[in-house]
Amino acid sequence: MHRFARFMGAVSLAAVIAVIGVACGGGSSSSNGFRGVALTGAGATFPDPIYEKWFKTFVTVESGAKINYQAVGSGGGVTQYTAGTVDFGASDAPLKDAEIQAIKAAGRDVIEVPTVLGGVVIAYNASGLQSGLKLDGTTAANIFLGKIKAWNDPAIAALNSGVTLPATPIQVVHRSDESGTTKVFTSWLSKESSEWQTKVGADKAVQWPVGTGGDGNDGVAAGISQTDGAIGYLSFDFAVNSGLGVASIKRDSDGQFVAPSVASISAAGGILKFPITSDTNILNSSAAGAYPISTTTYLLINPSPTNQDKGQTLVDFLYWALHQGQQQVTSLNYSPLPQDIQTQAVALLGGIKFNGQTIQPSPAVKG
Amino acid sequence: MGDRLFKGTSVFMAVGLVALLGLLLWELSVGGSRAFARFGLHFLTGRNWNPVFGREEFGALPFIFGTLVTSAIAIVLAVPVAVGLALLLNEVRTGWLRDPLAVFVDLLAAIPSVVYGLWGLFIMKPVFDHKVEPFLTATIGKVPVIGALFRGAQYCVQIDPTTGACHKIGYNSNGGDLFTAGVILAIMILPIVTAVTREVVAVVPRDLREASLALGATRYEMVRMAVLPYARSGIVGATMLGLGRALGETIAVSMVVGNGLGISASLFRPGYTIPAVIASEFREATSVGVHRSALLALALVLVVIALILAALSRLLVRRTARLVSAQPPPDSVEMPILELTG
Repeated sequence: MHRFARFMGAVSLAAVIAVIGVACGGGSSSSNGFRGVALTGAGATFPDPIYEKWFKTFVTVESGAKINYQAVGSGGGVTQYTAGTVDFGASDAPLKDAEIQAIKAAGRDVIEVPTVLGGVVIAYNASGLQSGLKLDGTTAANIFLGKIKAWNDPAIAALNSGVTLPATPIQVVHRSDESGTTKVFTSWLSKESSEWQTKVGADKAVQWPVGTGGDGNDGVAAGISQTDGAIGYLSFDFAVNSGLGVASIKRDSDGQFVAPSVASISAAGGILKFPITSDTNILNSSAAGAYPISTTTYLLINPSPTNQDKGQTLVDFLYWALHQGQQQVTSLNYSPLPQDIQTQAVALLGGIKFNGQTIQPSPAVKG
Repeated sequence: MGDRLFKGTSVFMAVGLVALLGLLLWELSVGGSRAFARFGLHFLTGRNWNPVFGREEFGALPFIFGTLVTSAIAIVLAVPVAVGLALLLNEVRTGWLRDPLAVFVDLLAAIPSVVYGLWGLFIMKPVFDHKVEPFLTATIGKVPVIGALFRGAQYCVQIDPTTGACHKIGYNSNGGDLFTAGVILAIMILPIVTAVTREVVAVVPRDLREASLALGATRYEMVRMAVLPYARSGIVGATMLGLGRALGETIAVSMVVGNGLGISASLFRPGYTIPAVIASEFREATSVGVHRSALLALALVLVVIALILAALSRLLVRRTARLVSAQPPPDSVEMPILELTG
């Protein structure tokens, strides 16, 4: 509902911007430097808040760069990018090989640029339990499989010596709508538990063995907070403000328990490999201090824009987002790219060319 | 000329309406054909709904079950209350209470369903989880056979720390469930059932009432023997209107029903309804894969269920109407009253 409202909002905003764009028309470059042109994009909902903030701030850098972003979901973003109805797309998951082929079949190409990092946290509400309960992948999978039914289960007790666990039954809460958050979480469970992998698998929506479903992060958080003994998963940026208990997750590489935080999620990005391929992910990152259930999100960029001003605006925006923009992400509880990953992401921009010439970022954004 | 124009226009509109329904059914069948072709009858009887890419399996039974059960709870709870309310407003001298009560019931109908949903999620569900349902489990839940309806999922309250054996079993009614959804649906359909029942009760002929009163019936006997038999078919119609709304309600149900696949005897366990799953999953169901087709097929199933129930209600109305006309209300009133006075 909430998302639909936002979608309709974005649509009407798009209409308004289109009208304004026509009214103002042209005049992108002036004597005092490049001023940018209007762009449209569509895709993932997870990074939508930080993207909106970036677009709002970027207009103060290039006054003509009014960027309209429709948070229609990663699937919609890929579809619209493939159809060429937007200037850029956005997806939480790297493109599948079939999706890249479809884009190439449509006569275009794509560069996937990582922008920010996020995490999925296991949140719970059990009276007598503080935040920071320790869980490992197998135990988490068994809880969500319905095999561990009560909080004082020996498997949970073994990980939390010294903690008095309540005898409350465990109530699993999951997403009922389709979500990238679900995909990240179930992908992690699949890596951790072969039983999860065979019985349930990983996707944006799965057949949950137990539990109740809530619509969106809000629905899941409401379900958890109302029920003593409830456990569920939330996007990190949402969980921070929810006031719910948050589990520390055991790292497979060194057995350390790591709590989700901006820093630990950011650290997980250290293992990101370029070029991005269909199976790129940063789950169970071996980087020091990394939180295991971390993820990245991508902008889908056309390496050979058909319009020079649009290409220039896009390069400027990306350059700005990967530099100054990164300083804003923590204010919305996203995590910035680690330094060397950011450098490599910026290097991807060199592949964006107009008439065979690499589009260099304008002095305004480099300043 | 005017008559012919009028006739032409009304025939056109009537045909248009039927054509629209036909087109809807056609489009849903075409959209759902991939799912039907792949799963066949299993689509109606299957209990798995697995949208994971590469292991898709779609069976609609949990949704059909949830839709019918929540609607049935709503009808069972709402109809007696609605009939009582309608009789109170029409037959009993409530004085100053009457007008405010009537307005209040009508107001219930004007509240958007999402408001009911929010209220249900944040206020009603916690009360049901922590107070109402544990109370029902502790009372009706102990009755054999029907008790199973009022017991949530079993869990172990006390585990023996050494053997791991369970010393005490408890029932968990936490989280959204079919019962909570049924109750909220009952509240939502109450106004429409009440309003229609009131109209039906109001048109019971004055002669009938006066005749039964003249024969010495009390007010209650007059209602039971003259008013209700006469209004029966109308009350069935009102119930069916309410049922139609209950079957199709989406948002409010999806917020409290628990959205979990499951078919069990317990009303205190999460369920899922057809409208709720369509609303949850349509956004990212891509045309690749059979998921979207399965959702359209579900929509078709819902329309067909609604049509079957509408047809059944027609039959029911016709049968009760025949009963009433074959046995004119005055007779049915006279007989028992004679017994009473004799």
